[in-house]
Amino acid sequence: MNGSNKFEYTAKLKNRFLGMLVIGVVLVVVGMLTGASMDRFWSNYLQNTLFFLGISVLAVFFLAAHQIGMAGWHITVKRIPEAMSQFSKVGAVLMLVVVFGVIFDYHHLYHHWTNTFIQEKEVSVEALKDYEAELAEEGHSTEHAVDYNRTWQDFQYHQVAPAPEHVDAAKPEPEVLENGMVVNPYYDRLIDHKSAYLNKTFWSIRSISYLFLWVLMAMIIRRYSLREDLDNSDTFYQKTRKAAAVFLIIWAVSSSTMTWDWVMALDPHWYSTLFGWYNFISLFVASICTTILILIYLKRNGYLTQLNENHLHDLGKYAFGFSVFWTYLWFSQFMLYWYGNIPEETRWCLDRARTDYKWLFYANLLLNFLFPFLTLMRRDAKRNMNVLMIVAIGLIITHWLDFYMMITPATLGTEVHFGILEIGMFIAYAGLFLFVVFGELAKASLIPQNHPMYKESLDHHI
Amino acid sequence: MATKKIMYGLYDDEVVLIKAVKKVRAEGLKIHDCYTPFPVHGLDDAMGLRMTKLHSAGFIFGATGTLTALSFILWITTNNYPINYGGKPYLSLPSWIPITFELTVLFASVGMFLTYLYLNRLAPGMKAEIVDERTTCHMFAMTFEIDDHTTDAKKTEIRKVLSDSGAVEIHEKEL
Repeated sequence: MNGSNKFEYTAKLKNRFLGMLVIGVVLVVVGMLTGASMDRFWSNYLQNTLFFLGISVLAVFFLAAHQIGMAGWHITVKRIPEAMSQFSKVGAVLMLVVVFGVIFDYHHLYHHWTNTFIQEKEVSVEALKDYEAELAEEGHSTEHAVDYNRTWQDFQYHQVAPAPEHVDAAKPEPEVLENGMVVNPYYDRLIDHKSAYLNKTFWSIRSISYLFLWVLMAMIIRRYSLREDLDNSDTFYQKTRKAAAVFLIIWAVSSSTMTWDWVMALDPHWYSTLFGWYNFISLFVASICTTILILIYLKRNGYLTQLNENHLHDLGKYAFGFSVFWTYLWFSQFMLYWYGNIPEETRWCLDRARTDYKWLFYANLLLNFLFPFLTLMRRDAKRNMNVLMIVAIGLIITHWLDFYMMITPATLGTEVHFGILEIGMFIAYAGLFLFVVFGELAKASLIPQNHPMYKESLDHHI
Repeated sequence: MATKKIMYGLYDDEVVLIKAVKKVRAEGLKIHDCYTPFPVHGLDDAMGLRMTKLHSAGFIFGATGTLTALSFILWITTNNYPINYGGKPYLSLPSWIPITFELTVLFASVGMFLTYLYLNRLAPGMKAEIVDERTTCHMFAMTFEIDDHTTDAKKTEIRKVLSDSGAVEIHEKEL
């Protein structure tokens, strides 16, 4: 060994990442000063927090899945996802800001279902008057009542969303019932129907428990791995196995529910059953690509001499395979929506495919599917650092755009808002992420030489 | 059909075989083939075999499948037998994708399977060329092609290299 197993976190590198963070924050401030709304800020904040938190939690998934599968090849790679997993601590704190925002009501991301007024069939006359005054004051339209009956055909034949006439039309005086109450004209059946699950209390408990459990498991798995470096037995290997099994069970449930709570809840009129997997795979591809990029950076700077193109080949196969799986899920959802033509389902695609987001919607599919599919298909491509680097950078950006496509139309409506704020927010988060991850990398040997499968990883050959 | 004469050495360990292959190639002798009871990692590299072109063939078969499916469905749904399914247009790409996918996989897999059989001269009822029956069980063979013009000096050289590199038995055989 040439002693280069210890990563040296130079001041120059540190400053570069902090510089990214500062430039990003400055761009965000400039974006805010040049007219971006607070809603747009929160939408971007949620998108980036979810994306980078997801990348770090999927790194824990990477470790846990390989541990349970008794894989040996990834030992030379292992420390990179481990370091990435430690960003989950920072990500969880950033996500808590969103969670507390729902509890203390300082942002409007989830305002559709946090509004309890529209979940009551009958209300008193005063309450109705107060609510209408509040609406007029805020300048909000009652958009949640607009689009029950939009279907693919509306768009097929009209090419645009039909005007929501019944909202602007003069409302008749509400009818007073025998008990002195009135029928709530703003009553929202779908949101009322979901209120047993989607209410502030239960939502906050769930959100906080995912964050807590993920960070806990990330710390436990990392801790075992570091202690293994000082221990010659397989004690910590066995302990990690148990921890990995626990994490996988937690993740099996929380990967779906976090998507319902944090992404689908932005648009509570919409129904989907496979959206959890879709998010999961999108994040997994991004996580694998981040691992590849950090690996290539380290390898180019003379670290990780034990790592060879066979390990890269396996990571490349993941990037390739999961990109195809992402497409499978994307298309499954799209085709069934298109065939079924049920308003509660199609609205998701319609808000994206038949509005200003049209180009982004189809570009998303092409960039996340055809680009990795055609570039990574050849064996040589997966073993070539230059090709892998280009594909990995491309996939990280396009999966970030995928999250943009999921969140922004639901929070900001169907006009595209893309500018300095969006770019600045991404640079700031990337800087923070890299700063934390490289700091973690420097804390331990880059290759866990006491791992029982260390030798197997060196002999890896495909 | 002309008979093929080979000379082969039998080894009882794959690690010895790989070392032997490297040694023999370093001496400049041309190995005909190796026969092993199971796939041996690293043997292809040691023998200097080039990568198979089977996957390129697979891509071409797959692309053929994609084009066949798309053009065939296009012709059926718009020309030959247009049916109105739930008010969708006749030319509806989303509904074609599953079948296109299936045909791509079918063409690629069947095409590659047949190409594989052809390249390896395999077919039902074909007589297998077995160098030594023990290579299907526990022995590893390294073979050299020889013919009537092969000099005794050359044969001796091969024998020497084989026994030096750890072969437990050396034979000549007509296939």
